[in-house]
Amino acid sequence: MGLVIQAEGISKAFKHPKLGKVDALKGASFSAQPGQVSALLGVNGAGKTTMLRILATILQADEGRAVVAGYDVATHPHMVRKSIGFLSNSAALYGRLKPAECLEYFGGFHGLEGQTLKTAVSRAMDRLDIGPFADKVCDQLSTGQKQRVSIARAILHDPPVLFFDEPTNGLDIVTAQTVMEFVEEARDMGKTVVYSTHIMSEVERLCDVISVIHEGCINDTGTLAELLERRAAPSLEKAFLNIVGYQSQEGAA
Amino acid sequence: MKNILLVVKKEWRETLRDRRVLIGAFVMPMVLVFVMMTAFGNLQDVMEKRPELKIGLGEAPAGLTEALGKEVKVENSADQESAVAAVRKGTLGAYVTAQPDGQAGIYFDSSRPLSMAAASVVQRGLEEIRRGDLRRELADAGRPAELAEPYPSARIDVSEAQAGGSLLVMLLPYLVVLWTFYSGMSAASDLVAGEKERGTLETLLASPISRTEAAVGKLISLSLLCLAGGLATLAAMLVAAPLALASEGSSPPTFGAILTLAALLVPLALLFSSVLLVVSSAAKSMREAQTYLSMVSVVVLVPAIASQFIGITGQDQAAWVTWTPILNTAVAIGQALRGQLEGSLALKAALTSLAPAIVFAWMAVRMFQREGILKRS
Repeated sequence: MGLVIQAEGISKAFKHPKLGKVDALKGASFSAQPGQVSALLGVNGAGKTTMLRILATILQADEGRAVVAGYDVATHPHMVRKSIGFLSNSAALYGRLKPAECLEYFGGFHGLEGQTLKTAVSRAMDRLDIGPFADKVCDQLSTGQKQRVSIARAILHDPPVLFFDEPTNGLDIVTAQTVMEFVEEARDMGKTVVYSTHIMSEVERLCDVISVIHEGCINDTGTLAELLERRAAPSLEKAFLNIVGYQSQEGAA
Repeated sequence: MKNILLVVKKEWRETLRDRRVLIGAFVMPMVLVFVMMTAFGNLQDVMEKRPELKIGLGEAPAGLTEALGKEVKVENSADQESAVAAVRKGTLGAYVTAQPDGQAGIYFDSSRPLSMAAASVVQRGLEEIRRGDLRRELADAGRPAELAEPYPSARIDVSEAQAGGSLLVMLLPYLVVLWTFYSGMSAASDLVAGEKERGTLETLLASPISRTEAAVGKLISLSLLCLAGGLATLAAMLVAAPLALASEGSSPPTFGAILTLAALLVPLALLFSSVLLVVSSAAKSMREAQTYLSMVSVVVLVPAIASQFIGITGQDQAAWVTWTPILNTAVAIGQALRGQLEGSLALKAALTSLAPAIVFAWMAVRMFQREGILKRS
């Protein structure tokens, strides 16, 4: 199956007021296929969010090229945005709007209107079981309810590519379960899912391909079995530590 | 265009559900204008009722009691020390007694307006005594007694102003300008800085809307809010003006004047909204935005306050006034209220508001194109 996402040699640096130039990504390459969940696994500050933001056309790479759903992110950002659903690591909803109003707002940007928009909103709300709290404004929703609305927003226009940036951040175990079930469902529907996280158990459960990102570089990519075999590790956690070059205090001594 | 309208619609929907903005932009100006106009109407009545002046007389020239008239309450007091203390205390307006050199000494307290007024009344009384002496001298010499009087004159007001020299006309431009700004200010921090803080800006920029459309949509929303705040102040004025202005003998602004005022507010609203959008875009958090906005409000406050006094200084036609943004609009609003708006001033006000508005709007759009727009603290 062809690659839906292909990023090659992506570099990105930021200016930090105290630290000066900080390299967030250093020639990182990443790819993803439809019907698979591809993980971007890394510690905080490894470059996961920067990679997702470049793929979602929110940021521009300093170097390298990325193609999403057949469109170059640098030259056809509008078409890329039409093809993706982006779920950031905060629920990112408008507090004074009701869930349906939030969905209608974003649906409008995707060209949905009239009855088509209403049907899409209703379908997404049913799928994420938003009905019981549909009358409340988003400020009155629990973290889990907000995340469900956010997912509904991301899938409203039925995009072929879904980006999830640490989607279970701050969620209780039940809501996190809902999110993960949704990711599995999306994969089964043939979507290309990119899942950024630092939680090993989620990666083990969900992801078909794992890319370990560390200090702006993709250090290793493969299935769980391939990583375990290559690193001769009994668990993903051990393999991950090996990939990022971590040495325990005992080992160092 | 469709995306811009979506942004405007969404921003207004949110704004109309924000109690803080609703109170700040619409309720407060209406209540404030109504209360102030009513209060000023009453103040005018109070000012017309002269307070009773109390004057103490020691060794005063003969005939002074009669010369002071019936509106003044006269108390004879030989004890100069206690009379002067009473003047200082405010229980006596002024005290008159002869000085060693023969002059009539008028004791008054310059820190008390009533005491100053009492001293003037005594001064006029003394002048009247001297005029009486002069009239008698002239009569004895067979000359007309009128020669002792000031040259006969009559004051004829040729003003065509609808709202005269009213205190309200001085104050209203200031209120209208200020509330046009504050209405936008109440929502500006949330518009971009708030979206950064909540992460919704990132989601918006990952949607198929161009950054220019997002910026323009927010600019239009903010402009409409600024304009609505200014119009709310005008609406309150329309309700309260007939009551207040009638009490001071002035006629309220005509419908045409109100329309002119509304038109003057459009370029001003564009200027304010573009500045507010730049500030909100530059801030990394709502708190930072609010700090910056408070600083910017001082820039608006100074010309707005100056507009109240510019008429007294006679500088309202000066080039520096007519070409200073905000100040010229406030002066033009004052002229429109009096039904005397000069076309050239209105044009200058529009130009000096629109030119910087375009620059700031361009800056805001540029800021949206940059990655820094997502930077949050």
